[in-house]
Amino acid sequence: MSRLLEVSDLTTEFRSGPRVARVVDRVSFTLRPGEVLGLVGESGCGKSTTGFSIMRLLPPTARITGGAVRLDGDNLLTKSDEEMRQIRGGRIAMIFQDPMTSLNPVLTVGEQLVEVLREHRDMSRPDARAEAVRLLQEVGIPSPARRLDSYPHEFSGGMRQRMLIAIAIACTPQVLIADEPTTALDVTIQAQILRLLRQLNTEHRQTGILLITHDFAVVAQLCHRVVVMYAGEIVESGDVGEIFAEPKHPYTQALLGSLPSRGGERGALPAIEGLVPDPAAYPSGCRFHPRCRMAFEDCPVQHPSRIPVTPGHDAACLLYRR
Amino acid sequence: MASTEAAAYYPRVLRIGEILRRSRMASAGLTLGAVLVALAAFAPLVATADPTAMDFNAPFARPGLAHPFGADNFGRDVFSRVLFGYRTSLLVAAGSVGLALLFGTPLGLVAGFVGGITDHVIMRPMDALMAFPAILLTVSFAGVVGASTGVLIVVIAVVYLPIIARTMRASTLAVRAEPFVEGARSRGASPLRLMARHVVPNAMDPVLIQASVLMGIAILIEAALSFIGLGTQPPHPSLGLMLADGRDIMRDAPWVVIFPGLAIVLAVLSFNLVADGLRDVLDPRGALR
Amino acid sequence: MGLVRFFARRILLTIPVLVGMSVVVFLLLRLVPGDPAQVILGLRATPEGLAAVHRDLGLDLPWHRQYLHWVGNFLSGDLGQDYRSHIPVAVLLRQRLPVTLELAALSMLVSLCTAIPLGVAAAVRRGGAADRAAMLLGLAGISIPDFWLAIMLILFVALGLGVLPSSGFMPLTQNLVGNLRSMALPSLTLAAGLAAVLVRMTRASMLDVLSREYIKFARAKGLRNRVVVYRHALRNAAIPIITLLGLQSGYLLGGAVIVEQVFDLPGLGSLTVTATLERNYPVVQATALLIGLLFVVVNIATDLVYGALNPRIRVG
Repeated sequence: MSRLLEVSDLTTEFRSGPRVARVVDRVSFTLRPGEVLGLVGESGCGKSTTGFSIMRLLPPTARITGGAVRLDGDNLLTKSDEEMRQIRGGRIAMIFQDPMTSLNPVLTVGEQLVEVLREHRDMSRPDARAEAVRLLQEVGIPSPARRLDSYPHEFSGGMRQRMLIAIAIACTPQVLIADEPTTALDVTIQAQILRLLRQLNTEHRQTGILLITHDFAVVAQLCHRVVVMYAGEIVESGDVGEIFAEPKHPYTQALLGSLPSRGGERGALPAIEGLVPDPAAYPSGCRFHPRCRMAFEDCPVQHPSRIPVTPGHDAACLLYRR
Repeated sequence: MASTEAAAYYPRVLRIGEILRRSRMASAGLTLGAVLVALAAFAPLVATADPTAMDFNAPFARPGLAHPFGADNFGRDVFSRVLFGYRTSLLVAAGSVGLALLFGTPLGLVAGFVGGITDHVIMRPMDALMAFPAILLTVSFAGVVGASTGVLIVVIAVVYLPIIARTMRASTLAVRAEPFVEGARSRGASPLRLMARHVVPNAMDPVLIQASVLMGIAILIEAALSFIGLGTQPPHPSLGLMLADGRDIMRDAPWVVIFPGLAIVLAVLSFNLVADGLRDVLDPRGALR
Repeated sequence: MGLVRFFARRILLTIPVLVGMSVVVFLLLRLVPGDPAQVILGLRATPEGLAAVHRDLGLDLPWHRQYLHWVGNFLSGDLGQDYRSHIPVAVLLRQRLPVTLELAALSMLVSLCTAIPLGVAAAVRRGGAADRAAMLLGLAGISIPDFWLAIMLILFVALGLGVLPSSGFMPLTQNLVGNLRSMALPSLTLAAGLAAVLVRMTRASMLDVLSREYIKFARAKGLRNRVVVYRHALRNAAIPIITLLGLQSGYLLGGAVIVEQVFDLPGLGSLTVTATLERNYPVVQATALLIGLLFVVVNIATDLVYGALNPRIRVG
């Protein structure tokens, strides 16, 4: 199976004066065509920044300081700004988290769709409008032709999210990065959007989807494989089924243990003690050790690398040292 | 950054020090302003001559040792006249803004804090006042009561009153919604204590910025009105009057119009620098504008 | 349909405002000490002469009758006559209005063309040359009194370089180049103050908009920088700028008074000043009303532009 997107040792730092925060630290994973890869972690672990780093859409205070991001063999980190601009929206597209703030309030929905089509697919305006209607239909928006000239504020949150998705798939990207696509939506709408994403995944078998989320329930419904992120690092990766059945890293175990629907056990929800560490001052050794129930004396000292526990299933924990 | 502790109240003095350290603009503006105020305050000592003294031996004197800014057609020393003119400008600025703050701040505070009918009762007249163009008010007052520096101070204060009240009210509303105010209230603080201890120190920031800007504008208004004859009347010193007088002789003695104008610019600039500097530090996102 | 209702509502609201203004101006004129008859007769005034002039001008009638008389005339199209020259006020206004309008329009044009591009450039490249220039010019511009700037321009450009006239006015119909030359320094003076305020606001507004999520999303779509800045950002940033322009129209009108005085332009501003000093009631009252009307028109225009830019606040 070919590797569509290959991220190797990606490192991104945020600078503010003397303070340096390594928000993404030697992150590596691969995405294959037709696959949905989940990137899971709590808020503040660096997953969104990973997504923005791949798109090279970082704020001026941030810099990618190492690694490579290969899209179909092409290293995106070595591209010029102009080359990257052409790739964004066309070969890689992103769905943002909050549909309320992601759409420009003074432009019609049609305009925001048409401009992407004209930029990357070089279509004439009438052709682009027709294609826009087709796209809106594909994402499930009723009476799409009429809605082209409506403004974002005239739609509900769920509809707006569908539009973001329409914009994202407009140029049939090779990679689709979905950054918390359902977090800002009501639970009922969430299900609809997830269904839509699953449907798109089935229909566009050449596209790989990187799904960034903090919600394991979403992962369960949509993803084939998953990587778990903590404090800027990948701590576990593997097939969804395996990870849910037998999570190896204590962090993943804790995350899955704190899901309300697991096992139907009565009693208090186990919460993970402690707080997510400050990216400018990570704990020494294993970054999870202050909160880990199974930490032992080597943990604060030695930084674990990813160790294959079973084929295709890695965990970065000293417990699995040979 | 929600805190239910009264975390936001700390002595104003400390904050000023920190603000100065963090903003070069504010420091520059304050320094410049302080120098100008000092010059104005000590004008009789610093001036090289009596501002009204005419010296017919030196009409149209060029800037030099005897007359640092030159002299006008009556031989009056421009430098000294500028210094005394500053007194009037700064008096008008401080007086009008001071009055407006004195009355506008409590009005805005009460309107924002209590809300409801009180808010309406206080703010409707303010809105009506704001609808009047300032020029119209000033000219009419001056016309009816007679033009003078005192009239100017009162009229400008009246124009500024609703502006200050509005700003204070908006700021009070914003601060009142903060969690720490709710926290203090739930601990049984009386409304008066809430207002004084928690709301005012935090709500004053935009008002201070506004006040600085308005002081600069007051100086411009005084100069403009004196220029057209509706402000400070001779023989009282005024930078605007100097410019009006100087127009006739500016071909022969350009310094008579250059220096008073520069003086105005420096004064207004210092207030604007302070305002910009304060704004950068206290309100960088423009949220409380 | 909505547009018609909008206009209708606005016009209805305007009438009480204008009426109120006319009453206020009327009263103020009569409260201000000074007698038009005195001004007309000057040194030759005698009590009988003054009384005769009062009767001629209708000033011996009680105030409310004078007002109603004036309103009645006004509504039938008669704006009265200049007390001294007996020229119909309508004629005076017709002569003077274009001058002031041209001054305002030129100033607005010059300041928009300089301030907006500079403000946009400043925001797009923070800390760059444009940013520093914008901040400097902005700060300087709001600290400089416009009448002093006028004097400085006259001093250095007109008298010093001798390139442009220091006063006087050439009508547009007579000589286009001459007209523009006589308007150059006056509009530059007014434009400077306006441009300073505009550039600061543009920069601030653009900075705010450029930090928004939808701009990031626009970049994520791979759109060109020009498209992102002008199509996506500026259209949003323009909203507070338009509001500011509406407010600044008051500044323009006020500034026009001073500038017209200094540069000796025959516009509405200088007319108002002279007429006020002469206690020329009909002229002042009519001018005040005209200015009030202009304000209303500007307000309505602002609202319309606002609605065109921001679909959430459409009037139609």
